[in-house]
Amino acid sequence: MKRKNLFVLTMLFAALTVVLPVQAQKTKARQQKQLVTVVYQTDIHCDGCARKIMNNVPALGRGVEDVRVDVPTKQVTVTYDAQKTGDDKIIAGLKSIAVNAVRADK
Amino acid sequence: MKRYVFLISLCVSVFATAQDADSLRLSEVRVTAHRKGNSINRLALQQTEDISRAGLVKMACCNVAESFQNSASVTVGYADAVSGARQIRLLGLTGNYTQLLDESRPLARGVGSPFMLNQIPGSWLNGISVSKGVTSVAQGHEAISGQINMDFRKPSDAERLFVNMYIDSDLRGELNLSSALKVNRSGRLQVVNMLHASTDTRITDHDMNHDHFRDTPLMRQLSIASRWNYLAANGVQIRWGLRATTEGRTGGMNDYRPTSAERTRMQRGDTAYYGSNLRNQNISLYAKVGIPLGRLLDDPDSILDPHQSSIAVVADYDRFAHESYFGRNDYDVSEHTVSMSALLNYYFTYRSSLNVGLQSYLRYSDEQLQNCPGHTTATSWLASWHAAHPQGQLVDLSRDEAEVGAFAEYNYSQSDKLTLVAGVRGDYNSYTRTFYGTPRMHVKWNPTGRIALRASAGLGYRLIRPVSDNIGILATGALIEIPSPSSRFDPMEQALNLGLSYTHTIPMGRLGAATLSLEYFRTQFFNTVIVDQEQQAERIVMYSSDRKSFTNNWQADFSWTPVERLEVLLAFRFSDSRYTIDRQDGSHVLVERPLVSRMKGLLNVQYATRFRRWVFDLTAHLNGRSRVPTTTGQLSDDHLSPVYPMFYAQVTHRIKMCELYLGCENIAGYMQSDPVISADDPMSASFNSMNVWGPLMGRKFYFGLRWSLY
Repeated sequence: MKRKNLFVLTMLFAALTVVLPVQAQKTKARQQKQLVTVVYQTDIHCDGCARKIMNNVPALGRGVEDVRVDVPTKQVTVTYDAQKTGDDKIIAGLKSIAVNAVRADK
Repeated sequence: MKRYVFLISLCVSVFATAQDADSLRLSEVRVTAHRKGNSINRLALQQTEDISRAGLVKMACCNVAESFQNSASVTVGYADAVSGARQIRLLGLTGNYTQLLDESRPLARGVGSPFMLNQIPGSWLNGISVSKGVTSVAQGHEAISGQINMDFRKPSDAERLFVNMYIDSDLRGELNLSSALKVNRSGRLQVVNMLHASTDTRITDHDMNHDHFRDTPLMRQLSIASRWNYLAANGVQIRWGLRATTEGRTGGMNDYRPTSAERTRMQRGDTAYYGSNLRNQNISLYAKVGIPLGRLLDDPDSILDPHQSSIAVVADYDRFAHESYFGRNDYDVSEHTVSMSALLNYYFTYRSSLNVGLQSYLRYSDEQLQNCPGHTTATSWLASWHAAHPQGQLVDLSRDEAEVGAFAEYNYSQSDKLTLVAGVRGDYNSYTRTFYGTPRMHVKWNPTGRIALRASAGLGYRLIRPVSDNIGILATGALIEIPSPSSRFDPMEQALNLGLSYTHTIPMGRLGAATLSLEYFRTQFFNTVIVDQEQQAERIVMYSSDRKSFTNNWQADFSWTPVERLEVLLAFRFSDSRYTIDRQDGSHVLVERPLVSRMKGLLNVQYATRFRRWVFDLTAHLNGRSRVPTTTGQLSDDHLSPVYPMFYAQVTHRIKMCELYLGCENIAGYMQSDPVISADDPMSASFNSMNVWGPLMGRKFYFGLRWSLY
């Protein structure tokens, strides 16, 4: 009986390993998004600030697709799904990790 | 001047980092968000496994000793089944042979060191590095099987407040707080304060194997730490801090409570009242001053940071107090240690440097074993001691100890391809009244950018503490023969460690490289202190031996990212660890070291959704057989433990600044069925709970949250 349980657990473990990434790829393909790319001018000054942003992308809210940080120009480029989020939420999200930001084109 | 461009793209992958390679230094490549949980450090001089913060949060990791479940290098076991104290094994040897470092500063090796890994909370750390084999002579002569370097949260960390709360199905609750602050406006003075509080709140006792003993003790711990850093405008750095811990564990029979009434009943021999209570209190203070000397040396061809000569002075004070009883065995320790170091690291050129230093420590220990003062029902071993030692029912192991040493280490590297480090140190120990010479050497060769070959060789010495190093012996009813200082017992263990390793980064798949690491380490002892429970029934004998004693350790690690955000780590370790024990008839037998698993296999799979909003971790272990020592005195009665698997799983979800995690340890619920021998008669001489080879706890679910404020 114990051996049977172990076998089932091992199979479950292996199945999850394969299914999870495949399912995630399929889900991604199904989604239709309205992507917008916005550049923000920030007060970051070092690599630590860049790491802080990259470690906390979920703090910017849902719908964020891509984040790029350029320390010399202090610019953060965010690509997001306009159906799920907007400028205000991104700026508020950056504020929550102590990064002050404004749109670079304003 | 090199441009600092830091461009990271998460569009392609969380793990694939787009960087301007021409303009980026290596230090900037280490982006913590994308670091693997466990990885072989390709740049380190020694074979080193790094466990990042991402690795530390893959499981519950309540303390450092529990942080190695995703590592094949380190095996986590138990000192005994009563106290439930975790004990690690590295290269087939117990954690006593592994040196602990706090950000490269050696932690005091006193009576308290075996408890240290249990006392440092995992959430206080940014990472852990496990270096195998002999290490730098600058950090002492004690690391025989390797070093564990703990990288604590830093005063310069961005998180102004970090909160971690945890509860598991055994109703153990835990709270961790950390706060990093700039104290003055310029930001030159910084501090990080940390707090840990945990306690068992369960009302009913867990006894899944029905032996009437708690599977795990009731634990409570309160720890605080404060670490300060001042960086002056001229580059001088001053660091100081303190760490204080109070910890308690109550183990033993299910109904036992550590009240004076129940303890009295136990001391009178009531077999229904076997209990254990253990209390540790320690405080550590440290101060470090580092002064840069000369100009900054740089090499445009090197991927490493610029170097600068420096001098440093380090002072430490440690106070450790321990009070415990295991049944009728009382053990009390009070210890003070003061240590000082002065170091000079001088760079002749960018690729050539000399590191010299003077180090010393002074230690006062009051250490006593006692057997139920005031009662006449002394257990056999103390009765025996009493007959031989007229001072009474007290074994006084107190000692004062001082050591003074000096070292020199030369470091030479050739165009990032070849690095050679040769060092020697000499130490005089006042307790053994002996001078010890410690030569060590390391070579690292990168024939190509993808391959690193390492070799290391050197001597190591370790002064043993007969009881605290083997605290499990108190959780037995056996007669314990502790050698007296006047006997021909050499308490300084001596060993030669040799190591070879090969690390290859292999281009594989469209997402980058896989890493394959192969390693071999051999530890050859010249003097071994053996705690022998097999020579005679119901007796534990300690002696030093210069007979054959060695461990061979082979390990292979393979890590790969086959699909976007999917990490796979596969590792196998084989150990052959043996020593020679003395038999009662005067003969000697080479046997396997007890309770060292011959093999360990590990598979860890982690999948993260974009930006790590969801992280799924699955870990499987296959633990090999280990020799379970005989307790009858007949070697033919020893046996092998079974091969057993362990499974772990955890799901982590990130919502803005909050991270929720839910997990399960030991999913299959595998447990050692007989960790306590003679559990039905705990006052007998055959009672023994120190032969633990498997899990003491069954399936455990846990839930927690982490929250950060910037």
